Amino acid sequence: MKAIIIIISFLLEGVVSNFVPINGFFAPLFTLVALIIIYPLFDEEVEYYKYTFLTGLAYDLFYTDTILFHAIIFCFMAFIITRLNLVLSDNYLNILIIMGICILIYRVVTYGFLVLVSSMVFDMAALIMSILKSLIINLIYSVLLFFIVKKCQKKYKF
Amino acid sequence: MVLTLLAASLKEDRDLNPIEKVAKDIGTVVLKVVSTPFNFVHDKLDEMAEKNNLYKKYKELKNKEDQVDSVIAQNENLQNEIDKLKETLDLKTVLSDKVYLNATVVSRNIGYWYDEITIDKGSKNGIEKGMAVIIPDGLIGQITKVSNYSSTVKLLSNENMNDKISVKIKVGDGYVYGLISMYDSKTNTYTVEGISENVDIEKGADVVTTGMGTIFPSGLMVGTAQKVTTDNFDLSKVVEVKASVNFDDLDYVTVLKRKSE
Repeated sequence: MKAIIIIISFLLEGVVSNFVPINGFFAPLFTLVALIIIYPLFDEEVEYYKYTFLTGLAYDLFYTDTILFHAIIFCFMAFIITRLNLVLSDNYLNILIIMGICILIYRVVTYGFLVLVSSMVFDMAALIMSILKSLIINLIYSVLLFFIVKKCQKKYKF
Repeated sequence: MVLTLLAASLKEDRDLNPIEKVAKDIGTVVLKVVSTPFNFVHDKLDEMAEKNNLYKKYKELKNKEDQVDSVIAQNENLQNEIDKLKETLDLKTVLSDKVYLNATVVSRNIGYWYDEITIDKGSKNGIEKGMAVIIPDGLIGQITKVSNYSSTVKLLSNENMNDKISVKIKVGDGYVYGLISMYDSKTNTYTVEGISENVDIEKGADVVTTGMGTIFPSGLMVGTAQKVTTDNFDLSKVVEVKASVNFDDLDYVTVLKRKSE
């Protein structure tokens, strides 16, 4: 089930990116959303980190042509998710809060690294816009995915 | 460690390693299959929207129809002249000679910081790093990474576009030359700098590539001049150029290969 959620979200991110405006307010980060939603389904954190690392690796290979960058960043995000889940329970509102915090951290960290190693110039407005751009569609997706996962959990008792 | 890995990944001259190539090819095939039903629905919706405008389009085309024959004749005449001049000068190719390869956009990387797209043609189809990529409206970017059956295109809207693109702007019967220095996504405009000639650039003047350097063939449409100002030292002109392409609407692209001798 966990693997299916990740694979569907991973592929959906690629598909949806083809249909939304490149500079619009709908930048999908469905893979990250899936990693947040599936965390409560894991019994052991080590297994969760394994899934996260492999997902990040696939993200590097399929989407961004980078080497291990997203594998490490996603593991860092997994660490944040595990810490947040210690203080926030598993419900709709908290999922939205975790989602918002994770998008904020993910965007700041990736932008920070890119500014450090590439010729990109740091632009605070661009950073804020990118966070806002990512929020709307991903918050909607996280609510939908959370709803589906909860329904499936009740039905199939996993 | 992350910084080192990222710096190594982002090196302009980096080629994909064999594992990355295989993974990217598999990913492209999978994404293409998954996207098929979505693309079908998208195409049908586009078709329906276009059907509403059929009469208006028919009228427009009817008006243009009369001009087509004369343009074709003029084009043939110019091509003959080019061929004769090439023969006279013993030239095998000119800067505008190019070979076309059509491709479909498989994914667009918008969740990431760089504006890049992945297309479904790779080295096995004759694609090479550095080739220009266009759509019917004009130039959109260049190939940066190539695997066997897919390639990555860095769009001109990319903030990390290190290679300055040489362009020329039509002024009367001649041209003035400049370099694209940046792109503004809010206004969909490029900034062209380095024009030292003291000439009046008209609003709406065509801006095309020069063919200088090794990247782009000449004559590719980039946009139209929108606003002309001078730089901080009042030494050269800075032209705001409205991009001729819409970076939000990229489904099918054409890869151009400059003909080499």
